[in-house]
Amino acid sequence: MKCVEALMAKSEDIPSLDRLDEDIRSFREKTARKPRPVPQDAALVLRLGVELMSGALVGGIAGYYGDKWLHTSPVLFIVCFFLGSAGGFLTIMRTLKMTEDKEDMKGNNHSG
Amino acid sequence: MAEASLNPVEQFELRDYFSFPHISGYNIAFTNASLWMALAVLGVFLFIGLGARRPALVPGRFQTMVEMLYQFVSDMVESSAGAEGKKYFPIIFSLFIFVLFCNLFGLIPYSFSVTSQIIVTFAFAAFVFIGVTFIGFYKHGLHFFHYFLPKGLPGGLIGLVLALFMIIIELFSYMARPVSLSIRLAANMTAGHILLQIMASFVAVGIIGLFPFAFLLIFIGFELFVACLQAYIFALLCSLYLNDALNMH
Repeated sequence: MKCVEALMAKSEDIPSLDRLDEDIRSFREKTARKPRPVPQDAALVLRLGVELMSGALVGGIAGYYGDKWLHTSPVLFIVCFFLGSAGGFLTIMRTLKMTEDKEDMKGNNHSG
Repeated sequence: MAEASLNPVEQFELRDYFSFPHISGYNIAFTNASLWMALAVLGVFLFIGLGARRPALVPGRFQTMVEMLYQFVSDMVESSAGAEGKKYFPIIFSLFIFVLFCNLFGLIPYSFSVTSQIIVTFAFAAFVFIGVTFIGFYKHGLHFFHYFLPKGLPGGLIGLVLALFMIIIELFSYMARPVSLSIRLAANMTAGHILLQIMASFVAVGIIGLFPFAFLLIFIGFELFVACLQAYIFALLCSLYLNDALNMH
């Protein structure tokens, strides 16, 4: 008996389908996972390390052959190695800045 | 390959299947790398061809797969290289799907992972690098050199010295692109395959071998993820470089 009463009470509680709609919507909003671009996040992390190394590598190789050519060993090698590393840093900084800008833009779109 | 080898880098060895006479000192033999590249191309043809053979309005599973892949790359090119970059979609899609299939075919036991060879990835990267530079000069003419000169430098002698340094740094940063593009792909594939081989060689030690076996199973899943991700990164960076050449930040 109690069970039936409870059911009756509940059915009175729900006057229309609108309320059900509302409930479903709020539940969906509550449980909705924010669409996170997983590949892009992972891609960013895996991208940056190599960038620094290859900058130094290119600088080092350019310096080494420049030294061989001009017989100035090891001046050019040292200078170019550091300039190449700076180039690697520059790439990383630029990539991170670009991602930041993109995220800022996304945030504005969401709020606006 | 009857006996299991314990040398983890033996899998990257090139073997000649058919030898041809050397052409001006170059060995052009048909190797296992050539075989697996040809198989990858065949796989791409089968995948795309079968998926798009009878295009239905309500696509089946196979057609959906092909269409999703197409849409994914198309969206990526558009979002990173803009509407102008759409013109170069075919080359980026071709690169993406070829690298993807080479990566995935490399995970088949006893196969050969072509993308672990730095010469292969460097050839792709150099091709993209030269192409993108050419597009930049074609579109902007000599104005493309402004790419290497950052804005907002102070005037006077200090500005001149700084500009000189910045040009060299920017030039190195630009030249490092094909190197990082090729090394990333090759290093990821090589490292993954070496780790798989080492783990696999631990499996055959009795009951304790179950642990490396479990790890191996998990790791093969991870390698599948890496194979797809690296192909995605390769294509993404190609379209980003294309964007730099087209729009010059």
